[in-house]
This record gives sequence, structure tokens and C-alpha cells, in this order.
Amino acid sequence: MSMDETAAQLAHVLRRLTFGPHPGDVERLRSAGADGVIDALLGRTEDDGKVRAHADHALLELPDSALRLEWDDFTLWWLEQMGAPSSGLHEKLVWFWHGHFTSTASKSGDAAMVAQHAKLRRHALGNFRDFAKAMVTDGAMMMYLDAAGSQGDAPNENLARELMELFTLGRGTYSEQDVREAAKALAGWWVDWETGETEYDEYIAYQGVIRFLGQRGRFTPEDIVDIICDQPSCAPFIAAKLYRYLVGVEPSPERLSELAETFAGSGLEIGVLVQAIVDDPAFLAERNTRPRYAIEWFVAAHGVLGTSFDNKDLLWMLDGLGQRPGYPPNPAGWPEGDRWLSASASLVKANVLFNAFFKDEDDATFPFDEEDAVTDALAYCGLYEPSDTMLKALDEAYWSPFDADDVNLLLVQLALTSTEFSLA
Amino acid sequence: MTRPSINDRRHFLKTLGLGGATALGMAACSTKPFDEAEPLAPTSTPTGSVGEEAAAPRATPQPMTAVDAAPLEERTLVVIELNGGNDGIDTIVPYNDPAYKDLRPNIGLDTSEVIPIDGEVGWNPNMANLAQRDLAVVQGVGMPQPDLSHFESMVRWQTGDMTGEQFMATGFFGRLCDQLDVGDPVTGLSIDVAPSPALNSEKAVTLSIPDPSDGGWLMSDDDWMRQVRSGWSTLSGARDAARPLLEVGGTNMAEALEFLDTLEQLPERADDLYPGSYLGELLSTSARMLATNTGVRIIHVPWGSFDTHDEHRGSHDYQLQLLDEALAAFLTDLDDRGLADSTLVATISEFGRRPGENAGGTDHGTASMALLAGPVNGGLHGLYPSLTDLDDVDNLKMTVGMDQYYATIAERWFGIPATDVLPGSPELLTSLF
Repeated sequence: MSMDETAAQLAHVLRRLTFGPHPGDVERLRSAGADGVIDALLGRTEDDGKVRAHADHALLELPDSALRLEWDDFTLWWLEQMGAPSSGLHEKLVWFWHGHFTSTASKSGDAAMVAQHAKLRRHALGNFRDFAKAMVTDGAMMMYLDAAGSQGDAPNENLARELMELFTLGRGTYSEQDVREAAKALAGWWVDWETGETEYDEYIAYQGVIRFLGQRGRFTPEDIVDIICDQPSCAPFIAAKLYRYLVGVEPSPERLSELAETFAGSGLEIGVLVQAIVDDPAFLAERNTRPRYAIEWFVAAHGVLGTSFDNKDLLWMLDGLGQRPGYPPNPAGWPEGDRWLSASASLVKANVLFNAFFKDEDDATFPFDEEDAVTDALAYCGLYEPSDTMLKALDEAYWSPFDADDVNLLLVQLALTSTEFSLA
Repeated sequence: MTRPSINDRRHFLKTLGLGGATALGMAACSTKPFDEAEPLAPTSTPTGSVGEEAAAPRATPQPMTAVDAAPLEERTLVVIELNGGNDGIDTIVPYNDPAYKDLRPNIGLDTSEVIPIDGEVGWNPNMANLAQRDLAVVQGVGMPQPDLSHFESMVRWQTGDMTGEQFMATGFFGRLCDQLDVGDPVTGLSIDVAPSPALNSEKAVTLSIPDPSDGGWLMSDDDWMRQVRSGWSTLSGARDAARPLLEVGGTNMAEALEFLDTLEQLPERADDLYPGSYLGELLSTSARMLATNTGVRIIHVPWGSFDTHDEHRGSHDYQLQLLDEALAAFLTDLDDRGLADSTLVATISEFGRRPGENAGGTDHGTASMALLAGPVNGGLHGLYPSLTDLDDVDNLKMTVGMDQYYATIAERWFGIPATDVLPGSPELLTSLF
């Protein structure tokens, strides 16, 4: 039972399409309404300065200063972008694609990872075919999945397999023969570990004709991507995954085939797919249907605490939460599902918050009215449809024998460790 | 209204001595690729139906007798999941088979360094500690219709579904936990940041804890912390028909709180026994958990980086060396704690590697080796897969089914009929116990 439907809807839109809401966002955007905020996030309205996460603020290119950072420092810079008031849908999709076209800093090197990130920003709302072409010859990707140095006469199959299984088509849509043949076409490249720069080497490349997904020819990596993107399984594979990210549930078969048709019909324009997903009534209806990923929880919680991303200890916390940028567990990226609400997740979240509170122990105060502290704390955390249990827990805390500042802290602590705050 | 103040959080935090560093000892776990598989697809097949097709009566399982082991109710299992696909061929090496050198001219081991088990096969030279431990080596474990995807193969290992067609909602080890469950706070524990599909259960509580040994401070007996725990306890009861995830999170939170109580019983670490490796940490923690008698019967330890597509020789040798040192230390630790006769260690891995090398490494393969340590008959079991009679994509043909390996652990170690926890009625590997 929603206490304030408009606020609840706005909070939902901001949870799904940005890394917010941050304190004050919902109150500030109340007059724009959910539809107005969606339009602004998608760039369909003039930027009137009311929605700070307006599409016009998207950071499509990396600033030079960020390009030169080592990966850990870059991660802090990236967290800052996610947590910035101007961060919106583009930033949210950059994260999505980082978990899709995976690479890891532990194998690929800092410079290559940052260079790959620049491509994620450039293509996040662009054309999927161009995006996949950029990734298949990306230095970090080729190092991560062992295409770097792969030789045509004895090619390494890793990238070829994951390109089809995880990045474009899904298992069961190609044969082992297709994996072997694609691996030949992807061979022939070196990557400089220090700089991430790539170099084609015709002496180790495969020079012959291959047979791949029903076609014969001498294929470049870009040709391989073209053939893959023309397969009927490509559009629904991507559409379903993006739907789960934005809506939180599986699309029905009918809905998926509509979306796939729209996506394929646009020539695989990601922005068109996103609009089709978000404009459907299901987007607003499916509230709290998936957990917040750890990174979403982390950025939103830090928004509530008002802390800055200036400390490398934060990276170890993200590690403990199981979602440190640049370190996906495997090429499939971070798994979806209820695991983000696990018992261990709740303990680690508690720990992360205690650390954050301790750091700021002298100035962690919250602007709550002493009479309405529970309501204020919930709004501050973006929770506009609290369960009865939540109200009871916060009420108990409200009447605990601590001074006002400490009670406020306790209220925030409990709200942020609640399951409700852990839902997207 | 004004509340009386009898304490404040500053006192609490100072009491705990929390510094700027993380309190939960979040060890470096970012560099372990392949530590999870995809979550299982939802299923409409009830778990209870797993054994029904094999309704033919079987003799009451005969638990092992060959080696002295603790009574059934004391037995525990530690599963080390070797992530990425461990190369069985370079773990137990067919050093006398000329085909080995033909298949791996560049990356093959110097076979003169292999530690012989018999005249045909021997241990990788980096496994000298385990080679002295009389482990059981189960050769050629795999699936009749293998799949070369990490994720599909790992799901099959985790669910105990060799065909990949059953889409089971529970994991094999979760089903064992259901059978072993006597209502303890935790029956299955994964030493990891997230729960493993391998431990998905119907009724037994199975948890994942990244490092259980460092969570005790959350139980601090302090006014502030008592208030926080009271709040968590209330919050864990959150239910809302429109938001089913509230119950998922609430149940997990309640289980975590209950589990925290047991952590106070954890005995001392035996740090000097272990190498300073991540796996050493995980196994040291496992030994302490087993020594607490908290009801944990199965511990799942996902670890490793065995996906050696490139630079196979160096990286595979290194993984095996880490395994060798840490597992040998763990076995000593178990012995010191009087747990050697009650603990079985078993390895699993999604698949082995292709016998023929690519230029610098090995691609995805099929059958591999499984290792068992503890009260088990040491030595070789099953047949070494042929290096010359390969399948249609040049991979090994399995000689022992994954389900046979699992069935033997279920029946001979835990006394649980295999048909209660696995599809079909797999034949047991009777030589093991």
C-alpha cells in the first residue's frame, strides 16, 4: 500500500534508470512527474535544468585526465560519475555493458581497461553492431579472452565461443564447428600489455576460407560480427537481457518478440530498444522486482551518507560485496537474481556502512525533523512505500535511548541495511 | 519529545577499535575468475520427482568400511570447486603414452619429472605433497554428452544433472544437505561472497559467508549494537505479498543473524600450517568451521583460475602448486583437530581441457580427474581416458560418469541412497570406499 504514489513512482524510475535516487531528488522532481523524468532521461525534452540527470549531461567521451589513470584510480573516478547528480540513463547503461562485454583488470592491464571503458561510453546507447565490432578487436577483450597472440593454424577458441555464447547469440544457436571456424577468423592480433594497443599480424593470421554459420569466405573479425548480428537469435538475446536489467523480470514471449522486431528493425539501435522497453506500462508497474546490484546499492547508499569516492578502501568493500568494477567473476559478468539479497550480502553491507559511518563520525548528521524523523529518514533514503515491518523497526529505533543525532544515524543505518533499500 | 541519552555510537565504535580499514577482513577475492556459474533456470519439476523414475528397490546403502571412518552422523564433506575447467591430463599425467607428446609438443610437461603412481601415469611434479597423501584419483570423470560451455557444464555439476535436461531447482550438495538436515542453523556453507547453486536446497539452511571468522564484531555486546541487531531482527520479518523479494531478503537476514551466534564458538586459526594463499585462507576457515560442531555438514569452496587457454604450462602448474600446498596443510589441520576420520574432501571442476594444444594453451575439453582425500581407498580408480580414441571434436571420452562419482559420495560416505539425490540409478564406484 503506497503512502505517496507519485513519490514512489519517481523513486522507482530513478532506481531503474539512474544510480539514485539521492536525497532530495524525488521532492525536486515531483512537478515533472514520472513521465516527465523518463522523457528527460531519454533526451526527448529540452533540458530545462529541472532534471539534473537529463540525457544532455551524458559523458559520452572520457576526459583526457581520466584516460591516463590507473585502473583503481579510474574506478574511483567512475564511481564519482555514477554518484554525480547529473548521472542518468547513459551512465546506467555503461555499467550494464561493462557486465556484458566483460574484461578484467587482473588480466588485461590498466591502460587497455580504460581504453575499453571509453568504448563502452561511446557505444552504450549507440548501434549494437558497431559496438560488437569495437569490442571484438578491443585490446582488453582480446587479452581477457586470449585472442591476443592467437594463431590461425592453432587458434585459441576462447573469444570466439564467448562472443557467441555470452555476448551476442546465446548457447544452442551455433555449433562447435562454428566456434572453431570463428576462432580462425579472430586470430592474428597482438596486444601491447602496457598500452592496450592492438596490431594485426598477417603472419599469424588465418589466410584460408572458413565456413561460419552457413557462409563461406575469408572473414575479418568485423565480418564475423556482421554474420552474427544478422542471425535471428541476436536481437532477442540482447533485448531479453536489457529488459531484465530495466524491468526486473523476464519479458513474456510475445513481448520479447515485439521488442526483438523493433530492435532488429532499427538496425540494432540500442536507444530504440531502450525506449521501447521503458515506454511500455510494464516498466512503471514492475516495482521492486529485482534486487539492486551491489554497485547500485553502494552508490545509492553513499549518496545517502554524502560521502565522496576518494578512498581506495572503497574498492575492497566493493570486492567484499562481490561487484568491484573491472573484476567480473567470469566472462558472463555478474549473475542476475536473488543472490544479491544473500545472508552474506546483508552482513557485508552492514560492515560497509559501519566503516562509512566511522569515517565520518564527527560530521554525520542528517536534516531530520525530530518529530518526523522516521518519515524524513525514509524519504532521505528514497523509500516511499515502506512495509509495516520497516515502520515498526524504525519506530523502535526512534524510541531508543540515544541522543537525537545518534537516533538519526540508527534510522539511516537500519533503512540502508533493510531488504527494501536493497531492491531496485 | 526528548529521548534520554545513555550512550552514543562513538563509544561503541571506539570499543570495537574499528579503524579506517575494513573490519570484515575482505580478502582479495577479485582475481579469481570463474568462481560462479549462472543462476539456475526456474523449474516446474519438483525435486521430489528426481528419484521416482528409478523406483526399483535397492539394497540399503552400505557405508564405507574399508578405511576407519567416523560414524555416519559425524561425517562431513568439503567440496573444492576448481573453477575454469581443470586439465586432468596435466594433473595426473600419462607420462608413458607417446600420444601425450604428440598432442602437446610445446606445452607438455617434461615427463621425467612426473611423480609416478604406476608405470603409466603419475602426479604433476607440482603436487609432491599430495602425492604422498594416498589420495584417491578418480580418472576420466565426465558426461556422456558433454557441453563445452563453462556455464552449462558448471550448472550440470552443481545441480548433479549430467544430461543438462532436468533443469533442477536444487543443487546436488543442497539435496545432500536436505537429507542431512537435523534443524541446525546451517547445514551447508559456501565460503564465498554469494550463495552457490550447488547448495540450493529445499529445507536445509545453506549460507555463504566470505570469511565467517571475522563477522563476530557484529555480535558485540554494546547498547548501540544491541539496538541495531534488534532492528535487524524486526526488519528480517518484512513480508509484502506485492513484493516477494522482501521475504527472500528477510529470510536470509534472519539466517545470517542466527549464524552469527555460532561464530563465537570458532576455535583458533592454525595459521602457521598454511601457505599464505587465498585457498589456504579458505581451507583454514573451513577447518575451523568443522571444528565448531555447529551443524555444518557440507562446505563448498569455490576457487581457482584453471581456464588455461593461453600460457597453460606456467599457469596450470601454479594453480596445482597452490592446491597442493593448501590442501596438504588442510589435511594436517584436520588431523591435528581430530577431524581426519570424519572429513572427506572432494574436488569438482566443470570440465577438463582439450588433449591437443592450441599454440600456447588448451581449449575447453570434457572428462577430467577428480580427487578425494580422507578416509578413502587411495590410488587410481576408473580408467584413464584414451588419448587416441577421441570424440568428434577431438576431446576425451569419459570413462566414469559424473553421476557415478556423486552417487558414490552420497551412498558410501553419507549413507544416503543415490536415487534420493540424483536422477536415474548410477552405478557406484565400489573400489573407493
